[in-house]
Amino acid sequence: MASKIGDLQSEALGIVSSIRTLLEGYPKMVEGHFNIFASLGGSKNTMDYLYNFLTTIGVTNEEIIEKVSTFLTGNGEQGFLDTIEPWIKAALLTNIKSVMGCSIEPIIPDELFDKYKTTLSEKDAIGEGISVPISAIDFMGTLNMCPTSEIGKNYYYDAYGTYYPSNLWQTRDMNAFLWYTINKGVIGDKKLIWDNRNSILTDDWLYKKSDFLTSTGGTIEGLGISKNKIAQFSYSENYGELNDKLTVRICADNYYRKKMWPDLSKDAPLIHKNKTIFEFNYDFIYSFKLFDSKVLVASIIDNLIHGSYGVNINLSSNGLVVNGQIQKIIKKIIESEDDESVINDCYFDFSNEEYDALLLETEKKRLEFNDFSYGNKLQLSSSKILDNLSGITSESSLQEIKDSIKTTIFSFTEEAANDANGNSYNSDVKNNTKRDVINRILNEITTNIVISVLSPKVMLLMEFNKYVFGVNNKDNTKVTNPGEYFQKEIMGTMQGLIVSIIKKVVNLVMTYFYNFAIDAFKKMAEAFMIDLLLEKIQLYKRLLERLYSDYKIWLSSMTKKTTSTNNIDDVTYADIAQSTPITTTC
Amino acid sequence: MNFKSFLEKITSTFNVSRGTLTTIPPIILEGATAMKPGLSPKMIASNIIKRQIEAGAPIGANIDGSANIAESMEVIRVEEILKALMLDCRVDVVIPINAINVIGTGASPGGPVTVISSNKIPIGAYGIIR
Repeated sequence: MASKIGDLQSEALGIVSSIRTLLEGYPKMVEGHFNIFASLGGSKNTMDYLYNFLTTIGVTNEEIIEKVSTFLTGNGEQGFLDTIEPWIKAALLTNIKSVMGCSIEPIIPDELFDKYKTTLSEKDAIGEGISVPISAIDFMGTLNMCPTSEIGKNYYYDAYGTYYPSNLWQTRDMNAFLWYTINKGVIGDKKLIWDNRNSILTDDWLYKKSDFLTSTGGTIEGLGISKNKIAQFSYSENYGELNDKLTVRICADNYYRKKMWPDLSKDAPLIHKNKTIFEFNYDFIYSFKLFDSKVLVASIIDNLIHGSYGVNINLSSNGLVVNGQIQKIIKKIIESEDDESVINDCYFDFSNEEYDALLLETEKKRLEFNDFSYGNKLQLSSSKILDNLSGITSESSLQEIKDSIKTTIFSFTEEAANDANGNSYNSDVKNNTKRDVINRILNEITTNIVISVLSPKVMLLMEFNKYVFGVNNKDNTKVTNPGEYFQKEIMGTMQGLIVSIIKKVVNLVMTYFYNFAIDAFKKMAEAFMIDLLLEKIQLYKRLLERLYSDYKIWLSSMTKKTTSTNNIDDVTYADIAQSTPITTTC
Repeated sequence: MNFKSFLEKITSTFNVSRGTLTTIPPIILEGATAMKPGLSPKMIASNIIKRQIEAGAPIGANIDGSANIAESMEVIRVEEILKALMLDCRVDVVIPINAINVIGTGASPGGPVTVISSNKIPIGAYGIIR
């Protein structure tokens, strides 16, 4: 970060600190021993700075939690998360177009379809589709968790209530659908159809029109209509292989263009154009939800306290490495934007040393307890904290969702501020811990939104595009290390796209919190401007009073000077008696 | 909005226009300035020490009976600042264009003459602080 930014940081914090002092009389010590200027000396983390800034202008932790909860809730005035979803989807579609290459005509090749014709007379052929190992699309290990399990229920957004493992093919959450494909679809070599989730999911033989209920309780008409079909999924276990395969084919019903035979009497070459990959991208990306409040909060909290567990339940080590990589990219993006420097291709590369260091760091973090309380090792239970999210259902109102998120974050701060026996620390440690937790939550938001974008469903879309545009990976048939795979293959082939998406996320998230800080500061600045005006008026009044008082004394002294009887009077001719002295009588 | 523009928005708060000062009537100023008592380091230090308690700073001797160094420092600080202002400081004054108006009368072979003039360039002057 440029030193100019450092100067601006100091100046801005100095200004708000002095304004607060001037408005409130004298500086108020922040509770606890937290140094509000900590970010000036050491950390240049923007979120750390923003948190310090907010607390310096007097925004309370409760107000910050309220704002974070609003951010993570719904849409419109009551929330923000849903508002950014279309932005991110649009950014994804646009960037795929610009990054993957515009020169190639992006027609979906026949071999990607679930059926196509090679000649008029032959039967339908089955395309190979794309085959990917799960570990190549699931860096965070989400698909290891059963969506309906106690742990898994917080990591899928449409897998509660009436769902159980065997009917998850109906879910609107594509990740849960993938879990079903992997764990249940393998039985009987099922081919599962993913269609527009505003409509219905069906598979070739499990489909029942009345099975899928809308959130309002009614059945959806037109289930299984071919126009809604997007892709066909199947899963095969390859015993003895390191990775099983998920095979996905694009549904011909919607994207395979009917052939035009120039001469029906001859078995002539085909003249046809399938739909473009962009049309498929659009349908695919709008067939699911990218972000969900509950999933995002659970991920944030899990990432923060995963170290409390000695076992891998929620996040894999590899997931932590990817998380660490994304965090570093985010940091570089924020800093590079501030510097206005040109981002070159190698800017986001990680050297082997960096990668090893990251691996070591995350492994160490995972094996140790998280230290939230300044030396007091904590053993937090994420399940206890995340229980607060269980109240969120598809019927929950935005306010209920927001309240649940708020309760969860409060619960997290409270739990972290207790020792291993559940006893509360003294107020200093407690306050510092709460500040620390909230600060860390702010830092995790951007990372977890990016991770939500890079979830298995989106990575699948990437795989299709890589195939169409001829962006070849190295052999991905055996992915033993998803962290390394992400670094070398995903970032290697799609760095431009991923960086563009991360930049978009960073921009949206940071703008939201900058605006929050500016709004909070505006109130203070307005009060300060009024104070300045009053000060000016008062000073002028006092000065004028004093000057007038001095002036009156001066004036009076001048008047006295002119009327005093002791003064020597001027003698003029007029003062001399007009009679002539008598001198003749002497 | 990026971090830099956010910071710039905050730091620009102090740069907003605060308007100009209202002019003091010169006639009052003329008389009042003659009556000014002048600056006193001791008076200023005394006033500051008196108000220390408003900020929560202790006044008088320390609890253990020792001298309150902070108060002594306050006296030294004010004395030194005022000493510099009174001994080293120079006040540059500018008399604006047309501020000095002169009317003169006289005689010429043609009869009485009245001359009206004013300064056509800004005039500089010096001053000191006392």
